[in-house]
Amino acid sequence: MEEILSGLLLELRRGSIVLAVLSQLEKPVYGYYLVNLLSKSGVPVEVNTLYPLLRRLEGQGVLESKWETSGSKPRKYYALTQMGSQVYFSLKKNWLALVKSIELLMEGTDNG
Amino acid sequence: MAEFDLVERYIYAVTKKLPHKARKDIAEELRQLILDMLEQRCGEVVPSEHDIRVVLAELGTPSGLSEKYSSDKHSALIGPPYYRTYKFVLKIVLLAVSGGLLIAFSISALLGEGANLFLSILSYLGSLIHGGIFAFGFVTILFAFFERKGIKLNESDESLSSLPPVPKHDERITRAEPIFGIAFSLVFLVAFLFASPWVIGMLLHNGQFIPLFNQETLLRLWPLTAIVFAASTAKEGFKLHEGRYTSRLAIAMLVLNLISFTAMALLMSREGLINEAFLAACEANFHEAGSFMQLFFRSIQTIMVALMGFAVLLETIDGFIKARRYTKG
Repeated sequence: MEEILSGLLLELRRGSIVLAVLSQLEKPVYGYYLVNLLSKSGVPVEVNTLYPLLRRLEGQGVLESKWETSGSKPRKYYALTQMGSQVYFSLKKNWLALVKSIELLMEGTDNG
Repeated sequence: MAEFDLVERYIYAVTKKLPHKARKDIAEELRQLILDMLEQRCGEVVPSEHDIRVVLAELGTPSGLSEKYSSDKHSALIGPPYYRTYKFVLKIVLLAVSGGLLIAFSISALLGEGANLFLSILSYLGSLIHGGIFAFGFVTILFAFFERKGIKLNESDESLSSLPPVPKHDERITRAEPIFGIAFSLVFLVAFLFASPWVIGMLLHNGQFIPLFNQETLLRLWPLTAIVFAASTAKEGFKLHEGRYTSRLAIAMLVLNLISFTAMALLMSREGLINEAFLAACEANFHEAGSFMQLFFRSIQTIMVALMGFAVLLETIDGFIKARRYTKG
């Protein structure tokens, strides 16, 4: 049962990670900062998942990136593009509606 | 800095198989990430090799991380939309090849050619491996090409109204029939092009084997044999694809049967195809049996064309009758 549960949880989280990432990228942020931020906010994401994800979203035009070399270390900063902002806005609306509907569905179930 | 050599080796292992364009960028980003992770772990202290190993372990194996970085497109030689069809076609082709070879070798073993059964089995296994590898490679390359080019295999029309009705029992073409058909055409191909001097002919009482055909003529006319093979294989393949008798199958069968019959007739009507020694042996051996047998072998070319024509005609008519019966519902 443990195995089934962890598999289902993984699936459940997979889609929501994108939303968590997009929500923090209205201002430019670099990858490792984002890892720590999400982890502190209770949505821990593996480093080796987040970095490829950022790149993929950049490839799709949702994010744009820029190397910042003025600091002590050169770092790659990611931020939402204009299109990315629209995508995030839509996703957010859908997510909120989904959460509401699922809460309604689960209301009154035994273990709830 | 021997410790950081490990970092560089790790980064190299991750990026070496990634697209050239992205390699440098990903490497630099990873390098900074690893430095950040080390800094968080050790603070101001210089990281030990152990620290580096722990951090790299957190990132996972190089191949695993590399896989996450590569885009899904074309990551597989034959991807999901093709894989099922690929497996299906591969199964049928391999079945047909091994079945066809088995039949061909059984016949040649029964005819006593290569009196040693053990050697016959060995040579069968050898051909099986050769033929199997060739067929496997051919089908795989074909499907890899489809995958690369994104060629659609299924008709795009999958709307609900165009779904065909469930075939009734005797309307359905079982898979065994076309597979057997393909195997049989393979036997024909092998027998005509490669084995005719040992397989097709007459065994005399003294153990001498006299081939029916002139091997050189047969080899010179190989395109005709190849056409017969290709047309009948295409026909069986189409049967397999349709899985039932339909009017378009009947039409395809008509066309393909016409092609193979024409090629066969051209082949059979060729002067000098029949081995003169075979006819002479007939004269010598059947003079007691009367003129009938002699006449039979004299006109063997005509008889073979007629037989083939009859078989092809029967099959074509059968296809049309069944298509008509079943499409009316």
